[in-house]
Amino acid sequence: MKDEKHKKSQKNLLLFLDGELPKKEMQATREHISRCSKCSRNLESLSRAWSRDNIEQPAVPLSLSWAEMIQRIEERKGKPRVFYLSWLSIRRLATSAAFPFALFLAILSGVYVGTPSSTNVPESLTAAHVQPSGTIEEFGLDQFNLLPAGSLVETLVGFEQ
Amino acid sequence: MVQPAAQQKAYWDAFRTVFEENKAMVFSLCLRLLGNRQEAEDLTQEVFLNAYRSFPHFRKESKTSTWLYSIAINLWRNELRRKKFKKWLSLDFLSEEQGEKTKKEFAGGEDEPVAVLEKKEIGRIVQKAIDSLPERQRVALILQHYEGLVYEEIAKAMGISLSSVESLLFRAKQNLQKRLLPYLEYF
Repeated sequence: MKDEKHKKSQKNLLLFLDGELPKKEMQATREHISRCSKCSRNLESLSRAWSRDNIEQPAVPLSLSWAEMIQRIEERKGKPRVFYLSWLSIRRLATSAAFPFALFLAILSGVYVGTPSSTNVPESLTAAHVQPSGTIEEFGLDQFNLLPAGSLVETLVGFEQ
Repeated sequence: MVQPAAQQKAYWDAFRTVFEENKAMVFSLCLRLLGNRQEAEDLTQEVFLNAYRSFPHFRKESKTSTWLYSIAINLWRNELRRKKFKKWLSLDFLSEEQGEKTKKEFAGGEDEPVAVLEKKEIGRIVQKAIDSLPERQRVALILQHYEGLVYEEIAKAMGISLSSVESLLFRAKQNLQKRLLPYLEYF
């Protein structure tokens, strides 16, 4: 139990320092630190490292002036705005296009499956499929249109009987 | 009736005020994100060029600084992705040289007093630990700790919800502490 409290406290020292733990946990951590020398030492070191005194405000370069800015704006004015197709935009495009595309495919396959097709195939044909021995003409397969008239596959492949 | 020339002048004056008031903090954010002065300068200019274009559409629903921060973050993320893609194309990821080169801007000089150097060194270690955090955690932490933004402003600048900011910062601070743990005895 004590070990568990120590582990939890060790993990949340920075959050404790910024006062960003829930009220109960803040209290528990405070109590633990007052008793644990290791946690108290670590907290001290962390507060030194995380102190805002260490923050260096960088000096603004002289070239970042209004005159320079005007020049850059004028340079850009004549040029048309270029939109790059970044990886992020490709990903966004793909994500937004994925659902409509999947829906389109589902509808298409539904239409294809739902279209009446090889309903008039005789039983002998099924047997012939299991153990094929002979030509298509022998089986009389050429008499049956296995694809529905005007079906997608027929249209795409250019199948004609 | 207001003349177009007078309108134009008023527009320039308003934008100049925005530029002068915010250039330091935009540059500071860019430098912390990129770790390189030259790149930070270029990115800052790019931020204001973008801001100039969309200044007429800025509806002042958020603070001007928050609006500029959001432009900076978006441009930086685009730049980051462009760099990653370029690196991937040129197989540069096989060498670590680039990463090392860009993180030295905060290091101190040789003729500075020990106390200042120590402070700088601590700052550098913390900065390095922050740089190693995941992208979004890193941005949230920089905006909060270095730029002093509150949760609402961070949410607006990053374009995410308040609860996302809370969880991002929570994880960021736990991760950062983990990374700083080995150095704690030296601080």
